[in-house]
Amino acid sequence: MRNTFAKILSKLTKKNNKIILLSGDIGNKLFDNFKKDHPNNFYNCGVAESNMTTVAAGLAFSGFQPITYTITSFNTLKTIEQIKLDICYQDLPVIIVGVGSGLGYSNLGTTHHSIEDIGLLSNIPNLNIIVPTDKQELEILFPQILKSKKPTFLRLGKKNEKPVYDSNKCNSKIGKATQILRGKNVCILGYGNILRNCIDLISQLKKNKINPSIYNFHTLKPINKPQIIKILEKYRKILVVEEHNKFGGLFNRVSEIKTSKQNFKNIIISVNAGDKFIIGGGDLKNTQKKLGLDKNSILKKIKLLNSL
Amino acid sequence: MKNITKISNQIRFQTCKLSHQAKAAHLGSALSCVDILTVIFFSDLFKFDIRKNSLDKFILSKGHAAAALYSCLAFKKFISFKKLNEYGKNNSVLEEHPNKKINGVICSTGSLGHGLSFGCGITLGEKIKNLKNKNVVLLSDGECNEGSIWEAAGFASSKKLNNLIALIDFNNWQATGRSKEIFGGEMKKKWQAFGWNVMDINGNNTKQIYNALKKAKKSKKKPTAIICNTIKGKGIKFMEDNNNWHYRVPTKNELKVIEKILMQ
Ligand SMILES: [Mg+2]
Repeated sequence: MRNTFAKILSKLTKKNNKIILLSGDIGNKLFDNFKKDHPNNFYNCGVAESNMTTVAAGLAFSGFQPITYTITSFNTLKTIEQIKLDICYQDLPVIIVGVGSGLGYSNLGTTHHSIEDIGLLSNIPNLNIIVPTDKQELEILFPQILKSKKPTFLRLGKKNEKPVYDSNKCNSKIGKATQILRGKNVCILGYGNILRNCIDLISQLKKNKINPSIYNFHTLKPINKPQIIKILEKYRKILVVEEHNKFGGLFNRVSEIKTSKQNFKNIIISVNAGDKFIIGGGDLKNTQKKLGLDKNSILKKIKLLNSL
Repeated sequence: MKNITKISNQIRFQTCKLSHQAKAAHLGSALSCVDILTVIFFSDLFKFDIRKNSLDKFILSKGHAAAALYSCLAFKKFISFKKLNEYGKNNSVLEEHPNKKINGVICSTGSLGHGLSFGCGITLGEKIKNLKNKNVVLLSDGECNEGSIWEAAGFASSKKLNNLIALIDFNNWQATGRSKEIFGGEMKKKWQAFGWNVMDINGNNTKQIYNALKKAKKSKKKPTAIICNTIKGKGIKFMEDNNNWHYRVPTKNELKVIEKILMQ
């Protein structure tokens, strides 16, 4: 996903020279072409994320569209007060890009995991939170983010994610979840590349006579409440899948909307990254397996949900 | 410059009055930087066209000195005296720390350690646009405990932000003690080590402030830090260098005494 990000950034900056990329001493080779083509649009801010975030706010005040880029955990937690006070409180159009979100850097350990970011950032007013599921969706959503001129957190994966939108074209729009599969028995809600694990299960589920619907909630904030209400009206059995702590993510949002409607009788089950520090997770596949986010675990959950 | 002294006394009294009316703290911190603010706003050094934000810019990074800033903005006619008198009251935008909704405030501050980075961003943006205006950020000495200040300091010199000027209101007090005792390292050497032009002046002497800023404006490559040695509570003898006035508020009788000292 990061390669696609670098590629589309070069393309968009050709047309819009207000784009300024600030990097926290990362992406050396990745942005070589960008730096060559747009030397006045790239600044390495060093390993100093707090300053980088507020510098971006100042640049936005001066009429630019700055993007801060570094590993998600550093670009969100070290900088959370700067995001709150300098970007969101002052409502400035900065895009905070986190790379290797969720468990993208699983084998680098807890310092590099980012499974609490959405929960923490959701509590900051004025901030949009966008999570593309694959590179095609990133290409579709990124120009929309730029156009919106809203403070935005863009939660990216790392690299070599399997596509979610293979042949079928992605036409996602900020603010509305995209239905990527039409079914009836159960409804799966998720975001990010973990949705690929769900799509891989379709044929197995069909053998078990389960035809799920799948919605891709690429926009976590502002959450589309009317759309969630419609989904809850249509499907009784809901599975929320997210590479995020069990608190503060999509499961919370869907549950609170259900609770606000007294007559809703949905069963909502969640698979998530738990609420424990993950030590010894190893690579992404192994870590997902340990946390119950792998295909097999998700399959079991869907079967269970279907039987309820 | 005689006129400047007169204005600074008016602003001092106005600031004390606001603290009394609103029962708002941080009076000592506001008074130590009144002379600095007066030179910035009322000398011929800078031009503020704050509604359009197109000329020189000022950021009060030590946002707790808001009462002194608001007083300047009122004398500068950016806000009305009627509005000024709403300071600290319910439903007033003039809160105890400044926010962008106030004419003349370009950056909301209050949490220490943010204003210099914001100034870096603005100055970098203007450098890209080839603008020559100056941006001034006022910090407190206690604020320089914050790590983000030194992130900004390294950024500004590496990006050659010569149009950025930081003033450090060095009254050698922070909330609970002497700044020099609470946080190590020599202020002047630190800024020099981070690649800045550094000047060390009496920050309650308007002539020295004026000359230092004038010199800073001429810098060709480096950003400039002016260490302004000041006295907390400056101008009112019974407050001077007495850290109780970090939080204390003047009584009605004290305000009368202050008026006598400043307005005669
Ligand atoms: Mg101080």
